Amino acid sequence: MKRNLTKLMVLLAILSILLTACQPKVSETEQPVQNETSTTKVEEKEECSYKIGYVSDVGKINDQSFNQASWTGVEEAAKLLGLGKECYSFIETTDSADYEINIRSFVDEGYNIIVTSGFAMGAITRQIAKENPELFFIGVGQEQVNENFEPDPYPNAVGLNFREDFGGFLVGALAGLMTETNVVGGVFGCQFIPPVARYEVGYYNGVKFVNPDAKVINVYHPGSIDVCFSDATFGSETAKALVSEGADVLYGAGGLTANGALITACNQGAYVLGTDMDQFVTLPEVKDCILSSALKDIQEGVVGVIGSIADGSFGGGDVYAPSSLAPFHNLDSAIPEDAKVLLEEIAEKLYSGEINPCTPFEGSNPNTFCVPIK
Amino acid sequence: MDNLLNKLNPIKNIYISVIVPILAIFTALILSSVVIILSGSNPLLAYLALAEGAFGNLNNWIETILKTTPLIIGGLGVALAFRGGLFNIGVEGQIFVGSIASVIIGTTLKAPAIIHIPLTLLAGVIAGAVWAAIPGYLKAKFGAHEVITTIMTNYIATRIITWSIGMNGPLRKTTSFVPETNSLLETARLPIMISDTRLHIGIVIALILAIVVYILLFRTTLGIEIRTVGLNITAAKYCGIKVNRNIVLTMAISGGLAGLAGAIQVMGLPPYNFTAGFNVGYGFDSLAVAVLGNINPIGVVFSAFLFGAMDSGARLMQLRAKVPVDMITILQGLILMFVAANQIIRGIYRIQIQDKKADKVNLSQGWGGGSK
Repeated sequence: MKRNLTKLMVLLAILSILLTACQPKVSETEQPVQNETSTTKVEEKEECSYKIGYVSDVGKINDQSFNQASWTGVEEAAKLLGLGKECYSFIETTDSADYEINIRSFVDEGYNIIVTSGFAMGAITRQIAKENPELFFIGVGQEQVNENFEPDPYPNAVGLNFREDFGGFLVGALAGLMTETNVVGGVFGCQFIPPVARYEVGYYNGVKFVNPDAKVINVYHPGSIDVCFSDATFGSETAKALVSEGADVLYGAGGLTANGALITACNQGAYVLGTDMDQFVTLPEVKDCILSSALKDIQEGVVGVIGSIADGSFGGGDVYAPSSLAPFHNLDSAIPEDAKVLLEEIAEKLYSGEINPCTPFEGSNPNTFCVPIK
Repeated sequence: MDNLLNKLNPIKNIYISVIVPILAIFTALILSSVVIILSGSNPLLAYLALAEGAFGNLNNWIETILKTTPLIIGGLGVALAFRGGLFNIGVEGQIFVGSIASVIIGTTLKAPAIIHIPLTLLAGVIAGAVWAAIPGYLKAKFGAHEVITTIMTNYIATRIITWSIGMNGPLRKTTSFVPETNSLLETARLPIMISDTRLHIGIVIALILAIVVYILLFRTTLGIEIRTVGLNITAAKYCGIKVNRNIVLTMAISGGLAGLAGAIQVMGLPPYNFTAGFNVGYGFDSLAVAVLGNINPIGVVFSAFLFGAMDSGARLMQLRAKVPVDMITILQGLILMFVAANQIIRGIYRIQIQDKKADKVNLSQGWGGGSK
C-alpha cells in the first residue's frame, strides 16, 4: 500500500509539472510566447539552415572565460548567419561523466553544428564526429590527435587551438622593454595544462628576446586542477614575494590565481600584464597599472570556424588561431613609441615564422606542449 | 462506521506524509517558474522539456535511472547514519575514495569477470567504510563532532585524489593531457542490461540495497541498536548497547554504501575511469535525498528518483528552453526547504497536524558532542 502511494507521489510530481504550466497567472502572460513557440516548431525545419549546439566543459556559460567566450562566439556566428533564436542552444555540463550524453542530445535533436569546449571533451567529441560524418564538430582547445598523439584529422571535425606562446612572447617583450629593475615576474596556473605552459615559455623567451640580461622569475601554482586556477591567496602571496625580489612588471596567466597576483602587484606599484581576455575590461581593479594582455580570441575563433562551414572552406583538422596583444588603454602614453614599433615588428616576425617563441629554456617545463609553426 | 474510520486512520497518516512532499514540489515549481519568467524564458516550455528529458524516450529513462543509482545508494548511507544519530557530511569524500579504490583494483588485477567485478565493488565498499570509520572512531574515542571531521575528511580525500591523478601522480594515465586514471579492464566493468545502451546493473544493486538497509534498520538487532543510539544515547547505554562500537560501525556501514556508489559510477559509466570533475556533488545531493526521503530507505528510493529525473531532464530543459542548469539546483533547494520546514506548506494549504507518533529522529541530538 505504502509503495503504491509513493508511486502515486511520483506520478503526481510529474502531473504537477504539467499543472503548474496551466496556472492562470502564468499562462496569461505567456500566451503570446506559447503561440510563437508552437508556430516556430512547425517552421523550424524550414527556417534553420543550421542548428548550432554548444556543450560547455564542467563550468558555466557566464564564467567570464573559456566557456563564455565560446558560447558568445556561437551566438555571434548564429546572428551573422541570420539564424533565429530557436536554431542554437547550449548544455552546461555538471558532471564529466555526462560529456557523451550531452553531445549526443544535440545529435538526437537534429543539430548539425556541435561546438564543445575544453580538451577533456576532445576524445569523445572526435568519436561522435566519426559516427556522424554528416554533422560538423568544432572542439575549442582540442587537438585532433589519436590516442598516441599523432595527428588524425576527420573531415567533419575541427580543433580550434591557439598559439598562446605568441601572446606570451609579446607581453614578455613588453615586460622586458618596460622593466627598470631588470627583474620581471610571472604567476601561472597548472604547469600540466598545455596553454598555460605555452604562455609561460613564450613569456620567458619574449623577455629574453628584447632584454637578455633581465631576470625572469616564473612561478607555477603547485596544486592540482581544482585549485590551481582558483587560488587568489596563493597568487597574492607570490606577487608580494616577487615584488620584494625586485620585480617591477608582473604577468599573470591562470584564472583567479593570476587575478589575485595582478591585483596585489598593482597595489604594490608594479606594472601588470593580463591573459586570455583584455583584463583592463574584465579586471577593473588593475586598470591603472595594466600595460596590456595576451589575448586569445576564442570568440572570433569560433565565429571564424562556423563561418568556414557556411562558406564551404571547412576542412577538418587543427586550426591554430594566433594570440595577440590587447590595447594599452590608460598606460598608452607611458610606453615609448619605439617600443610600440618594436612590438609590431616582433608580432610580424612571429606570424611569419621568423621567430619561434616556443623554444624550451633551461629550467622550463620539459614538456612545453609547443606546436610546430605552419 | 467507527470501525471503518479506524481502518482509514493509518491511510490518512500516510496520506498526510505523502501530500506534504507533493505540495512542496508543486509550490517549488510555481516559485521556480517565476524565476524562469524573470530570466526571460518560458516555464511551460522548460517544464515540458524537463519532463521529456527525464522520461521522453528509452534513452532518457535510462539516463534518469543512471542519475538515480548513486543517489539511492548515497542517500541510503546518509539515512542510515541519520538513524544512528550521526550527520555524515562525508559522503562526497567517501564516494571519491570508493571510486579510486575500485579504479586501483579494476585496472591492476587480472581475473575473470565473475571474480573481478565483486572484488572491484568490494574495494569501493571497504575504502569508503574505512574512510568513514575514521570520523566515527574520532567521535567515539574523543567526542570530536562528526560534522566537522567528515567535512575535513572530504577535503583530505579530494586533495589526495587530485594529487594522485595530477601531473606525475601515481594513478595518472601517463599518455593523457587531462588529469584522469587509466580505464578499468573489461573484466571489471558492470554488465549492461539492455544492449547498445548505457544501462548497467547498478540500479538493481541499489534497489536490493534499499531493501537490505530497510531490513537491517527495522528487522535486526543491530538495526534496533543503531536506532536506539540515534534516539537517545543515554538510554542506549543503559540498555547495555556498546555505544562507541555502534557509532564506528554505523559510520563504517554508511561510508561503505557511499564507497559502493563511487565504485558503481566508475565501473558502470564510460570511459570507466576517474577524471577531474567526475561525480562531483552526488555526495551532497545524497544528504538532500535522505532528508526528502524522510530518512526511510524506501523513501530514499523515490526521492533519489525525483532528483535523478530532474538532473537528467535538465539537459533537454537547457537545450530547448535555454534555462541554465542552475535552475534545477534552485528547484531542488526549494523543494527541500519546503519539506524540511513543512510548517510553511501546512500553513499555506491549511493541513492539520495529525500524525501523533511521527517516526522521526532528533537531528540536533548529535551536537551534544560524542558519547561521554
